[in-house]
Amino acid sequence: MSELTQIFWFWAPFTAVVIATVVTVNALLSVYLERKVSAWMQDRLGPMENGPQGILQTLIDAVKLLLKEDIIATGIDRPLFKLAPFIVFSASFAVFAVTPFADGFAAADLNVGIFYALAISSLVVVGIMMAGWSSNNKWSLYGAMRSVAQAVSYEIPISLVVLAVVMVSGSMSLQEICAAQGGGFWNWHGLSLHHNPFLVAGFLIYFIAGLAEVNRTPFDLPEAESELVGGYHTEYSGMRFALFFLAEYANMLAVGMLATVLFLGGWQPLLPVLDFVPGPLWLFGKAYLFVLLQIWIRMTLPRLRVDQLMHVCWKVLVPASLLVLVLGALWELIVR
Amino acid sequence: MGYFGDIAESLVTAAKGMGVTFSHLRQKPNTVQWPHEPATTKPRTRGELFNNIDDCIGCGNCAKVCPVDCITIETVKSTKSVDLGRTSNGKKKTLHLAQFDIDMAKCCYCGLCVDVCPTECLVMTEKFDYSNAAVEGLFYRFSSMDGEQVAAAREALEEEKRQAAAEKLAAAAEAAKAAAAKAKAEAEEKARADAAAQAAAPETPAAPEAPASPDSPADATAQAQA
Repeated sequence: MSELTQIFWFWAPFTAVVIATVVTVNALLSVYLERKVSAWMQDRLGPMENGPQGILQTLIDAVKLLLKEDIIATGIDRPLFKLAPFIVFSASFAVFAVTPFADGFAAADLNVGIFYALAISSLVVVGIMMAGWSSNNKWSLYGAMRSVAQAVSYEIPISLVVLAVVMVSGSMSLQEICAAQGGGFWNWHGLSLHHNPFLVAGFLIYFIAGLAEVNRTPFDLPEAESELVGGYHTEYSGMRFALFFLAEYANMLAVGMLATVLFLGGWQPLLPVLDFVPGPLWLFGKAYLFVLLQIWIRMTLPRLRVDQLMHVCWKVLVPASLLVLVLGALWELIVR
Repeated sequence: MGYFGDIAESLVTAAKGMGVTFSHLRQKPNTVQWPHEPATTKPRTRGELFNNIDDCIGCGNCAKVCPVDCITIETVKSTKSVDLGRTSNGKKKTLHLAQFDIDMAKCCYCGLCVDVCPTECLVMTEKFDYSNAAVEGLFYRFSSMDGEQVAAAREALEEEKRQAAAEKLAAAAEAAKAAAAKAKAEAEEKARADAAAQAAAPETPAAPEAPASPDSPADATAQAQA
């Protein structure tokens, strides 16, 4: 135990740097991907000017954001306003601490991994509320209120579905949840009909609620451009805005990664014979499938109203996830 | 629909919509990489205005119809001796175009001026990439006349006007003279007739003198002429 702890404390800064790099590169890549894919879906070309196929566009945008003036409006709550982006970013960044990149390769393999991930990602809500409140601006406040209502509501179906997964895999450690899904894609929780078929429905619920959790279309009410300017980050500029942006795309990836770990086997290869492909590639490949799916949905579905949003959560997803939990438990008791 | 029907419908319609977006993902983009490749414009594109000044008769319809008053026209009537020729569709040109200015910075691209142009000399070209850093660069002068030519045309017109006035006056004087002569002849005729009548009936009073009024203005004009 003591030896393990020492190893952890020795490697922690390095893993933090690696993960920070991953998160930053992910944001650059996801923004580019989003702009390109949405352009293609609208019969456009997207960024084309900087670099081949415009690949350097997001890098240039990031540099521009770094050079921009850090505007802090008068009449705002300065300490909260300045602190909010860091809380949002560090909360979404901390989720990656428990992400299992490969067998035995994670910054921290907590035995309460999934619980930690859900808990720490809820901190994002605090930062968003701080940003919206301190901006002293009705649009920001509306956005923040919506975001909080949404995130708090949608955590319930997510937690219930995750509970079903934990029940089936018998562990809260993300590494062990991955390990429980080995031996081909038919053993992955989200696809296996012979393990526990209710988890397939749980997969759908998790994905829908995950979209709402990270404020993606059709649940992007907190930052609805057409009604709220930019939502909680309306008043932010320069680096602080970039941090919100970074956190948003980190969240997208985090939701994709958690979905991958919980339902698509994490670092497990598609088939056992594909074992030679390293685990991180599998994990990131599957997570980016989710990112692509999120972009695809964003280009397709219109935004929901606030009451529709609450209806979907409380009247559809919560009962459905309860059913998944109860029926999944019964299946575990009786069938297996 | 009911509760479960709504859920099923939402899933089905979402899947349908995603099918539509996916079909567009595979379509070729409609975007043209202008200015790296030539832009394609559709027929009847409303771009930069161009006036073929050789065909312009200076009717001023375009300036009148323009909702933003971006066309300014000033014309000078041509003299009889000058033949400005005809437009390509056969209309006779009678006006010198001293000024034909279009302020493209004001233009709203409604195309009304093109519609009303009787000689079809004012057209909207398909050129759209004529942006200019200086707003003066968007002020187009189409008139082919320079200041001297305009002044000369004006002078010629004035001269012609003066001549016309003089001719008119001369004609009037001529007419007045003729009228006076006629009146005089008539008066003499009358006097002779009166004298004859007097001879026939001596108690009637003497005939009045010929009226003075037609004489005096004719005299005045004659003096003025001199």
